[in-house]
Amino acid sequence: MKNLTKLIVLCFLFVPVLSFGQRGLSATEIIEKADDKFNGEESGISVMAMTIVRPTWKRTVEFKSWNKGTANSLTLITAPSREKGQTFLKRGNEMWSWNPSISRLIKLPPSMMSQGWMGSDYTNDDILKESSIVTDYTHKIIGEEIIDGRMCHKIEMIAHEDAAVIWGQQIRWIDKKDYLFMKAELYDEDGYLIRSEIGSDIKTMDGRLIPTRIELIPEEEEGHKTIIQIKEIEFNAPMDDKFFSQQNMKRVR
Amino acid sequence: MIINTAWKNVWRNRTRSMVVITSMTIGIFAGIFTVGLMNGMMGQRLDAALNKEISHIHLNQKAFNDNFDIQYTLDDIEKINAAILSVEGVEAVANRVVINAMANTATKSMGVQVLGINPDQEMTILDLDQTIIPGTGSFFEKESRSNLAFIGEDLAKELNIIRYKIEQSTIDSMRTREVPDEVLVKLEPYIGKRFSSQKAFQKEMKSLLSPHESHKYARIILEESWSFRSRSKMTLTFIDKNNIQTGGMFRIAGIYDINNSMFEKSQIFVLNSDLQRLTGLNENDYHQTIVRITDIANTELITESIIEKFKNLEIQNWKEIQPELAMMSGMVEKILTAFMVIILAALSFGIVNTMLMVVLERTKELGMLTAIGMNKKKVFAMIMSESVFLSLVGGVVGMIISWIVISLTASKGINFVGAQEGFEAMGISSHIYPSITNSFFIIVTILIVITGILSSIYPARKALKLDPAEALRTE
Repeated sequence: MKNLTKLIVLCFLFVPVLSFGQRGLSATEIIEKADDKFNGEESGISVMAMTIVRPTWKRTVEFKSWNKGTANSLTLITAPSREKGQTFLKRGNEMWSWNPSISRLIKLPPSMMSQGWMGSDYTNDDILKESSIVTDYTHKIIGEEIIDGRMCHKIEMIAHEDAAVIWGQQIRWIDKKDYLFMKAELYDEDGYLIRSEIGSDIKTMDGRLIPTRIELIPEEEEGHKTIIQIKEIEFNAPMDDKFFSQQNMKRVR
Repeated sequence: MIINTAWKNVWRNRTRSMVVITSMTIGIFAGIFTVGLMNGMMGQRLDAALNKEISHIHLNQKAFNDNFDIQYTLDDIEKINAAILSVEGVEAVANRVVINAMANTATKSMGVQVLGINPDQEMTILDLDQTIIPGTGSFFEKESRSNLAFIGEDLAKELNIIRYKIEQSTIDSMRTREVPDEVLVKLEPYIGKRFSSQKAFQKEMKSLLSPHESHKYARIILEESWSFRSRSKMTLTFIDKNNIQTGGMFRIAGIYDINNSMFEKSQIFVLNSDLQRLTGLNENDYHQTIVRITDIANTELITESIIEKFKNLEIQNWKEIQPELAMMSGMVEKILTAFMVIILAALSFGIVNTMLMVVLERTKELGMLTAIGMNKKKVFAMIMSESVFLSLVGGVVGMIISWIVISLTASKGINFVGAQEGFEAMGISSHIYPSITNSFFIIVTILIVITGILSSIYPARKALKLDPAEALRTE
C-alpha cells in the first residue's frame, strides 16, 4: 500500500517525448525508456477513483494523493464517507495509517501489506515493488500490435532464474510513439495467465499524455476486477519534504 | 459347591443367558475397540507432535515469543548447546533462526513462520526427512545455487505450487486404473485447464460427473490430477536485522506431509545460512534452541535442570508449548476408563433384569433350598456368582474378539478417507492404527466383575426376603 500512489501516479504516467525513429532500440532499451518515463517524475498531486468489482458487489473508493520522488507519499481517502479522512503515509521503507474515526495512528507492519489495498486486486509485489522490470527480466521484441488504435511493440519478458520475482514471464505492449505501457499480461512459471493490466483513455493531463484508466484483471478469479481512473493530476508542483509528516496526516485535506 | 451350582444354573435357560452374554460381548467389544481407536489416535498425535512438529524442549529469549522480534537472538550459542547437552537424559540439540514472513507466489500470498535450520542438526531431533511426499524433492539433500525452502503440503496447495491439472497423460493413466471411457470423455474438454485449489477442482468434478461416477472415481481423478512443478519458486518477504523490509526468492526443495494442516500451512523450513545472509544476522545468531530428550517420562526433571542453568531465558517443554498434548497424554487413560464404566453401567441393567427373572422363576426352588437349611449367605453367594458368570463370560468373549480385531487392524491401520480433511484440521492422520495396552484389559476385567456383583445385589436381596414357607407353596 505504501506505494499505491507511486504505483498509480508514477507507474502509469508517461511523459511524451519526441521519439527519433525507434528502429535502433533493443527490447531492453524500450522497456527501460518506458520504465524511466513513469518513474521519472519529480512530484505529483492526483485525484483518482478506484472501483473494485467482485462477482456479487462493487464499490468505489476515491482518493487524493501527493508524492515526491519514490520515497515519499501521502494518500487521503475522500469517498465513501465511511472511510473518508483516512490517510496513509509512506516515508522510505516505513508506512503509517491514520484513522480519524478512532483517532489512531498505526505503523503498518509488512504483513498488513499483504492484503490488497482497500480490498483491491493489487498484491504485495505491486506495492513493495522489490523487483524491477528492467534488471530482473530478459526482454525480447516478439512483434507489433495495435492496441486501442496505437501501434505497439509487443515485448516478451522472461524472469531471470534467480530474480525475486513471482512471475514466470510477462508480455507487455508499449506504444511505439510515446512509450506508454498499453497492456501487460503476467504469467506464472507454468505459463498460465494470472493477471492482465490494460491502460486506456489516453489523455493529455497537465501537459503530459497518460492512460487515465487502468484495468487490472486477475484472470483466474472470475468476476474480479479493479479499475483505476485518474481524474486530475498536477505534475512537479513544489512540495516540501515536511509535507510528508505524521502531523500532516491528520491535517491534510 | 456354590460356584459349581451357580455355573450350572447359568446354563439352565440357555437362550436367556445367551442373550445377556451376547449383549455383554457386543458392548465390551464396541467399547474396547473404540478405546483402541481413540488410544491409537492420541498416540499418533503425540508421536507426530513430538517427533515432527515441536520436539521436547524449546529455549529462547524471554520476550521472543511475544512477537518474534528478530533482535532477540541467543548469546553465545556454543556455550548454550554444550551446557544443555551436559544435562543427563538430553539426546540432541538444534539451533534455529525464526522469522515471520510473507510467502508470495503469482497467485497468492500467505503469512508464514520461517524456520532457518541446519538440516543435519535438525534431523537428529525431528523426522522431517521421512515426511516428504514422494517425488517432490528431498530434505535439503541436493545442493542448489538458489535459496531452498521445505514447505508443507497445505501451504503448497494454498500457494498453487501443488495444483490440479488434467492432461492427456493423466487421462491415459486413469484409463489404466480402470476409469471407464464415458467418464474420460467427460474429462477430455478439461485437458490443459488448471485448477488453483482442490476445492474448485472437486466442485467442478462433482457438477461434471453423475453422483454414482463421482462416488466411484472422484478419488482416482483427484489423485491423478495432483501435480507439482519441481523447483517451483516463491518469494519470502520479511524484516531484516535493521527493521527494513527485505526478501528473497526461494525454490521448493521438497514438500512434507504430516497430516496437520495448521502446521503445514504455517511453518516453512529453510537453510539457516540463507536466512542469516538475507537478514544480515551473523553466522552464530539464532533465536531458538530445540532439545530432544531420550525419555519423555523425564520431561519435567530435565526441564528443571535446564532452567537451573539459564535463569534469564525462557524454557518451555512440550507440555507447556502445547498444553492439550499434556492433557491428552495424562488424561486419556482416565477418560477411556470412564467411557467403559458408562457402557458397563448400561449393560448392567440387562443383567439385573435377567437375574430378577431368575429369582422370580425359582421362588419355589429357593424356598426349598432355605427350608432344607441353606443359609442366607450361601443363597446370596449363589445368585451373585451367577450374575458374575453372566457378565464375565460375555466380557471375556468380548475382550478376546476385540483383542483379535485390534491386532489384525493394528499393523495395516484403518483409513477414514472420507473424513480426512476434518482429521487433518485437528492434526491427526486419517489413517488410524488402533492400539491398546494390556493393563487396560486388566482394568476392564475388574470392571466387569464389579458390574456382575453390583447388578446382583437387588435380585439377591429379593431372594433373601422370600419366606421359605410361603415360597414352598407357590406353583
